[in-house]
Amino acid sequence: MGGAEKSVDPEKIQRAEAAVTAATEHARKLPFASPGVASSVSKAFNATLDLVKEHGMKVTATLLDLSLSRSSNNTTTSTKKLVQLEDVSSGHEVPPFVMTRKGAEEHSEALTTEAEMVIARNPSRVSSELSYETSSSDMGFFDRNYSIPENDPGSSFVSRLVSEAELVSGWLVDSYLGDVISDRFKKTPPVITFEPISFFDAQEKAYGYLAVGFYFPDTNHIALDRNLDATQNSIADTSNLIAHEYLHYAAYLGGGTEIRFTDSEGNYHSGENMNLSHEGLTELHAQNLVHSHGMSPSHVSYAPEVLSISLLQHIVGKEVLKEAYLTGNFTKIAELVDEKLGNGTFTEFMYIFSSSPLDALVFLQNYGASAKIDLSAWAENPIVRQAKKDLGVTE
Amino acid sequence: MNVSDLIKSSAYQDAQKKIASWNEQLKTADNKGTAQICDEFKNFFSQLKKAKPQLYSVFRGQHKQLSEAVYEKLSGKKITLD
Repeated sequence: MGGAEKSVDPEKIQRAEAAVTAATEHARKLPFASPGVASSVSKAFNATLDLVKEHGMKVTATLLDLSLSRSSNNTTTSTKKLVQLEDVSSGHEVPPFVMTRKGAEEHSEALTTEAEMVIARNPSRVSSELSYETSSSDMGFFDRNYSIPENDPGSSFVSRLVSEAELVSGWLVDSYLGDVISDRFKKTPPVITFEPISFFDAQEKAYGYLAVGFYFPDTNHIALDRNLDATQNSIADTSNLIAHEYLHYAAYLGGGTEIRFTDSEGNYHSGENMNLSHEGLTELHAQNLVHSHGMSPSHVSYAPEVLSISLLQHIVGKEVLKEAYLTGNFTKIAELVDEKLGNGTFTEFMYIFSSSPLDALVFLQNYGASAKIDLSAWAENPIVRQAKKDLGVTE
Repeated sequence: MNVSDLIKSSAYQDAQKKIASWNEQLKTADNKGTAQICDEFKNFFSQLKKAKPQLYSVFRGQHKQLSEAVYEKLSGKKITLD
């Protein structure tokens, strides 16, 4: 299982930093707009990337900001370089902020206060459009399919949710996460707080999205709506939501929140624009987990993302994708996709996905058809069928 | 409707353009600007959800991603909304 510890060779880091420093100094001495500057910097950068490939480290804040200007001495100048090599291949053994139940409850209170301060700073902002009404056309479990009585007896539902959380936790650590992440998950288990609607209302007014669950990165704190009611939302649906949030935490522990890969051309890719695919991966794996225990959630959340990622799963295989999801290392996925569909396909897929998961789905379907990949098993997957139904699309 | 027709529709294309614009604006907005962008997309998605709930579900992931970006800009911390 991925996520194994890898030590970073300090000498190699020093050599990479020395290479970048030398390139920067060289750039200072060259005439304005010399073609040698870009080449010199590029060589140093590529030397650093070689280390990345070898050790799976992430290079952050590198020589992207090189600016050339003519000084009075007709020499070039460059911005001060900053190269930080971080070993993200092992994920997080322990989050930086580990919370007890009491700490998590205080955290929730602090977040509500912060949200209220954000709202107060902008008094002219539109009011919340929080709706408690049940709507038959609402799609996805993450719509509130219930109406809340005035006295908000959320606490009566919490004990059921706690039992489901224990069940889902058992599914994960017994076999699903693998030894390394399981151990971390057990050592620092997630703490769930069950929040009243006012918590989510404040967050929605401040930040613009009405949620039913939060995961707070760098912590073990998950917040769920305590009014998730089994009488209106099935146990399969609440189990799926809990699994979804737990998987966010597990992926954080394993390094999965830092999606990165080296493509078949040897180029390294990582970054914030991969967050949307992480959400589709999380929901697909939550659905996979719940289905594998005989339950069928009534909806698929993030249906476009799940459709696209489920097709990727069909092409590369379930276990391979799960490993990549939990560790964040998608190099093997890139290899498999490019092998079957052509060099550069995976990179392009991820690029398209970052702005439109549905365009990415069509892209992958077309390439799959050209490569004569049989998609019938994918189309028959009950998760895929449900996602299409939720979106109102036929194929 | 199939997926190909959906992504070619004017409603889909229009929403995609708006989302791309908000994402771009958020990169450089100050706190006040961020709050204004937040109100714009919150209003847009609220109306879309009422008028065309299935179309809204296509963009739910991107809606929540916009909010996560607003959260990070205003609080300095990351969050995962669901």
